[in-house]
Amino acid sequence: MVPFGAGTWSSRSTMTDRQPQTARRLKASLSGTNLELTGDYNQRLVYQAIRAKGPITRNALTELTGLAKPTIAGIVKRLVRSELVLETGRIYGGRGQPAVHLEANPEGCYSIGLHVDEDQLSLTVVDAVGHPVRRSTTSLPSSPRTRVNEFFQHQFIELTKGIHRERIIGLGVAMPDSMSSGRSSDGGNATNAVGLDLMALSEITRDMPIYIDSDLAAATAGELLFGVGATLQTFYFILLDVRPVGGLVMHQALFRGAHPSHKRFLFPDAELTWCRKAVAVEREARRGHQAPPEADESWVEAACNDLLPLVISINCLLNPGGLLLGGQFPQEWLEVLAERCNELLLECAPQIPSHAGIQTAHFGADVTLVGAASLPMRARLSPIGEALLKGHDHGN
Amino acid sequence: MKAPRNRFPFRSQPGSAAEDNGPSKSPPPYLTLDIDANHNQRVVFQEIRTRKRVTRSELANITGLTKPTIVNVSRQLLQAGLIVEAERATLGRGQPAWVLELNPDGAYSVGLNIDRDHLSLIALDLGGRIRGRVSAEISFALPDEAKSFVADAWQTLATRSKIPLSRVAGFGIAMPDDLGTLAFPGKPAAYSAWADIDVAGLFRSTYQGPTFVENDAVAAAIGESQFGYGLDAPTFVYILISVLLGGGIVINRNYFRGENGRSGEIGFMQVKTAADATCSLQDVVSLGALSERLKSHGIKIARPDDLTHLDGPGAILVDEWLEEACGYLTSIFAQIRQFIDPDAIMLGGRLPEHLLDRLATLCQQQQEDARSAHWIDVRRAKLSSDAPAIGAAILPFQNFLLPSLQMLERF
Repeated sequence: MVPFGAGTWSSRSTMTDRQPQTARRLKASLSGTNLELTGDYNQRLVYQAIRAKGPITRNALTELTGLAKPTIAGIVKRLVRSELVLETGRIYGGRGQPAVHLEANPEGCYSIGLHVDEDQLSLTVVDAVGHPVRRSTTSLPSSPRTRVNEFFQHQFIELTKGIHRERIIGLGVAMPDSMSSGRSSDGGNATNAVGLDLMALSEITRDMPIYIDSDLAAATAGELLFGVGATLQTFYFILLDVRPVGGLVMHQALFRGAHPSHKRFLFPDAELTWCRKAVAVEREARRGHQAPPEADESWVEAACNDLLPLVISINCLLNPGGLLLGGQFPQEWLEVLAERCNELLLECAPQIPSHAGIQTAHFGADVTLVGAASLPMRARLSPIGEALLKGHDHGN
Repeated sequence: MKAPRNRFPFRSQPGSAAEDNGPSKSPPPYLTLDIDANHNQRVVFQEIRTRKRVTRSELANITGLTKPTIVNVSRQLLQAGLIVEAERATLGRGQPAWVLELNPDGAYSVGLNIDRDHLSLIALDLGGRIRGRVSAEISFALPDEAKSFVADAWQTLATRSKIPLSRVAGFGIAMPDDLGTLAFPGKPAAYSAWADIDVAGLFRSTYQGPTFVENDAVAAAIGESQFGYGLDAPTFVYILISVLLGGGIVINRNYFRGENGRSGEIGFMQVKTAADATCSLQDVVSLGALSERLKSHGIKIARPDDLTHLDGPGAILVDEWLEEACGYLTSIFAQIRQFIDPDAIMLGGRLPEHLLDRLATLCQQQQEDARSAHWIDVRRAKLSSDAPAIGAAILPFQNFLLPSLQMLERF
């Protein structure tokens, strides 16, 4: 149904060691490009262009991507046939044959996201343009394995009702760095490492490819595909949680650093009360289905006090195009925080060469959940660098 | 949005400052690299350059390109004189294979470093070796002085180094950002002339070929990534300790520029002094800060070399400064590790080599003492003292010959 080759990404056997392999590959010097791979890459590129810039004509696509007209025609034909892309309104008025406009079909494909947090589980179904169509959450599964499976099995069937199985391109699983970081070191045994019975998951999802990544990687993937990140070349993402983490996003991917398995907490030495408080307030509000209270002044002050030095350093060091705040804080609190940080940055550090705007992530508190769902989309439909690299290792 | 462009084949990089020599029919008076430098050629050339001796079948394995492509590309590289075919390897059975090698004399490049305390011009070959160097310790050289320095030095280089100037592929210029505008002790008013001058055009009377202008720390980092320790450390942060302090970030062998080219401004990062005041790193860790401190004790430093010959009170002051600098740098390194997590941090710049070595050792020592869980490799860069000038000279090579992720960036 989906015309994209999944390449090494969908192969079950390589799933758990996918991450270190990718990191290695990117570190090796760039491979040359052979045609079969660029075909896939170009198709991803065209689909991305249609999703981001649609409605768009074939001519505009040719200009935007620099691909040849016949190439565009061939790719568009395949995309339309697979219903990932729709032909919409013709524009009349000009001379000659009116141009057909192309648009991404929201129902063209779906992806499922599972967010495994320390004390809750959330599941969502996201459509092809990044709208979460359905979601559900359960809190505090006491025994991870059985509860995960019970919740997942039940909700998976519930949420995917009425969606054609072939249109679901995969399951993305996001979990905190601390839970997934053991994965790369002990290699083989995926079940123990993630505290989640993957075999049972894959029995429920049957032939669906599963993509697992850290909550930060998922959140940035979601923002890159469907959120604020889609318009930025580089940004620094701060995932606020009980223990906030952050990462640089460039070349359409989270940069994992020289030691991908190291946890990179923004405040490595302490667990901060303002973080804990905001997370608790957000959980409480969700559980009671009510709006969270406004952030009080002392909370904003404490948060800015801790964040501002980091924001100054990030600006000096990385000169990002933007600084995104997301995570399980109340949306209004995130907004207040972003606004205040912006003011204080200009006030306290006018001398530094660049001041990136601080803004809230498009998906706010749901950033990790929607992000999890965008992992399969990214791996299978986006023009990521990995799609260009040859599928073998350069050693070491 | 950037201008649309073809994915393959690539010629020069987007945003390059390369001069278009137009459709004129007579050959230009400078070397043009007569290869269609597309991505595959750059990749193959890079492998030959970094692996020293390599056969065509090894290249096919490494790059994933087909054998016929490799044969084609290597022929073009041979014709351009960028590589040579060396003796056959006689391992194993069957027809022995030819080994391909870089030809260091395949092309040359000239690099200029302009800074507040000196001017230097170097000639570099394709193998990264310095073939000639001319330097002048001039405080706050004005554009006209720089122009006549380059005109003279270029001639000196040509006669001394005996490289054919016709094979100079390009000219790179490295200088600090905001040279004319940033307030600095002792800066004459006339120095602001640098603020609105076309630097690339300034030296047109001496050299008419492709010219590139780059920030000094960026050039140093690019140089280190292609010809220094960067080959072992794909991701590193280069800290350039010159009159002020600058930095450059290389991520996965590619220079990371940031949103508007102002990444790596490490000199502006904030540190806490002993008196609990906040200041910029470059106010306390820089050649300028060190010579100010010496000056306040009546010791005058005319050139960085003078720091090596200090004795008694001067040497003690330098020791004290090194200790303090190490403290400041350690706090900055913690942040670098947090936000970038590089394989290594390289120290370079006009601070004399033995002081850079001591500084690197002190920083390592401090980390060991603190039993830091995440240890960072701090060392003196392979290209340290002339790093900006060498890096500047590498810019033309980088632009015409070496692969870059930038070419694969999205629209």
